[in-house]
Amino acid sequence: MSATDAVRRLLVLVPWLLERPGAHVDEAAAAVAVDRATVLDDLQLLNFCGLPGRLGGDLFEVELVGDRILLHLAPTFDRPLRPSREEALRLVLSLDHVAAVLGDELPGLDDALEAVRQVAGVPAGVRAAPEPATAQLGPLREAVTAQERVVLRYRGRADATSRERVVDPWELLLHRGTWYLHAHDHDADDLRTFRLDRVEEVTRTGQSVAVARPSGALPTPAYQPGPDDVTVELELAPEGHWVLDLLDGADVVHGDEGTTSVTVATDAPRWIVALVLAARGAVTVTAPATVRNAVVRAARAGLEAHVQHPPLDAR
Amino acid sequence: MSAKTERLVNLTVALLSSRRPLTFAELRQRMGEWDDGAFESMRRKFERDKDELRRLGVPIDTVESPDGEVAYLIDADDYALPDTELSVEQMTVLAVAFQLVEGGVDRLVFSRLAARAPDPEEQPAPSGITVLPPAIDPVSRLTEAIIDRQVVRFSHRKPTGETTEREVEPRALLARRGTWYLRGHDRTRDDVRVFRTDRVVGDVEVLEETFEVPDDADDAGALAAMFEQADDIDLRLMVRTPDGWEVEQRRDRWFRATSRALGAAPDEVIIDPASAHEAVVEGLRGVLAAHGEVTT
Repeated sequence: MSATDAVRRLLVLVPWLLERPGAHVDEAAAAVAVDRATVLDDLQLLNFCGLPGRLGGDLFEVELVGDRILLHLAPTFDRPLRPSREEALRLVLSLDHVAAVLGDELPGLDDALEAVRQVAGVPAGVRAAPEPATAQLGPLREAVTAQERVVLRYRGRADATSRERVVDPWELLLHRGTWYLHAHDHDADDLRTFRLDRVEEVTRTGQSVAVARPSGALPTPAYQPGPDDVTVELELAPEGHWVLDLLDGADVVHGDEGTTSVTVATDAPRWIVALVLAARGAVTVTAPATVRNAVVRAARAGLEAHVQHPPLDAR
Repeated sequence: MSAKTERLVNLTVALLSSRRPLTFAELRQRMGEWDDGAFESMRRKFERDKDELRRLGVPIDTVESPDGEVAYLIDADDYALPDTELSVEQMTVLAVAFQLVEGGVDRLVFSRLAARAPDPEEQPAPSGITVLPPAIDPVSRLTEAIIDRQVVRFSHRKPTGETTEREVEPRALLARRGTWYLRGHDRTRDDVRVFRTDRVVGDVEVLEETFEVPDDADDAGALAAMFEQADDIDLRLMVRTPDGWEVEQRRDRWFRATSRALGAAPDEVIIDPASAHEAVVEGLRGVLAAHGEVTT
């Protein structure tokens, strides 16, 4: 625990205690998110703070009666430090997410949040709008709370079609505006992270989970480079540049005449194939041949499937 | 460590309680600190203490004293969080909401808000959900400019790679799926425009010049509306399953529906409306042509 941490806590603790004469040590500890021993150390320190004798009398005095704290005299120090702009933004935008997701369950949150925005100095025009909850969120939340195993019909980024996954659901996570489920996947026998917008169906099993959520924070969903990654080279015509927004961590070289070369590593070449197909010819795979051939094969087979299944009104 | 904690708290108290700016020599004398070594090395120690407090968010200003020396002060209004008028019910709902985001937001920030507000009632948080905040770094300076109504200047990369210089009156920001969108009056184009902040190249420059926002502007609403387009076409598709082709119905938007069918090729075919079917066929032909393949 550094001196800086103690200072941060004391700048909150003093106004908090002045507002609550006779507060219990445990409540004070909870208010600054530390254990009892730490808050007692903090209070001990506070006894020595203030401007010593030379200015006369501006000392803090901490009195401990049993577990009750009384703090005397802390002039000019009775209000908490204003959060920095970043801290205020992070707080308000996070609560924005909660309000957007759970507004119905937490009536009054919107109004309370407006009041927080005002004192924290976050303008009304700066907001975060998470992805709207899908129909799967409700049943999954119930399953997480009940610690019940579920079967997901899931179509992963790399999957051409959806398949069933038996999972023990651990936690739902709203990260950068997108919903994820952290769960133990029984086929993989490991933690897997599922995007909710790729879950097509949730079936509850009535069985309890076999693998419980480990304690501590679960990893934040992010693309992790792996040994099986394929490095793909693409060429983008001007009207295909929108795919750049979807390619995290790509190397981009803008050439003459509006063309752009992109190199990107992926654990899901099938996803790159889908992206190239959706670009309607504005994106070309230059390497490797396997991915290029996969695009050509899918497009040819796709055309055949379209011949096989003509539009309804042409039949 | 405890001596340092004490020193930092005392420096804050001294500057907050003084009615006038104090020089290093005055602080040293008043506080009885930074006086057990050579003046210059003690001065450096003081500088480190001062910088540390600034990093904690304590607004220490530097001014010139009447004698022409460097002096320091803390403006009480800059320092202190204004009181809220939050009720017990509001604090309760905020405390519950805060539990869902606690992994990503500093607890002490919430405690500052709660310090002079009524205590919340005990209420269990909705379980099984964690909310992480959107990244703040890309918009911190823009937020400041929105608050202070200051014009900003930045280079913005077009999707084609070309960069243009923009001078913008920033009016609203929206985070959506991890991306920030800025809406404002683009002085270069004399029109209201929306910019993705991840396409800003280099730093945003905040100019001294300020601007007025039209009374009837609803920039936040307009930004939100960009993402609230309703699904507007009914589709019928053939979808390949392990048991053969099956018919599915879906409601979607035109571009997303055709893009999705293209990406799923050869396992999905839109059969209604016919125009969407044709658009996918056209797209697949385009893909083959781009890859140097001949189609019939």
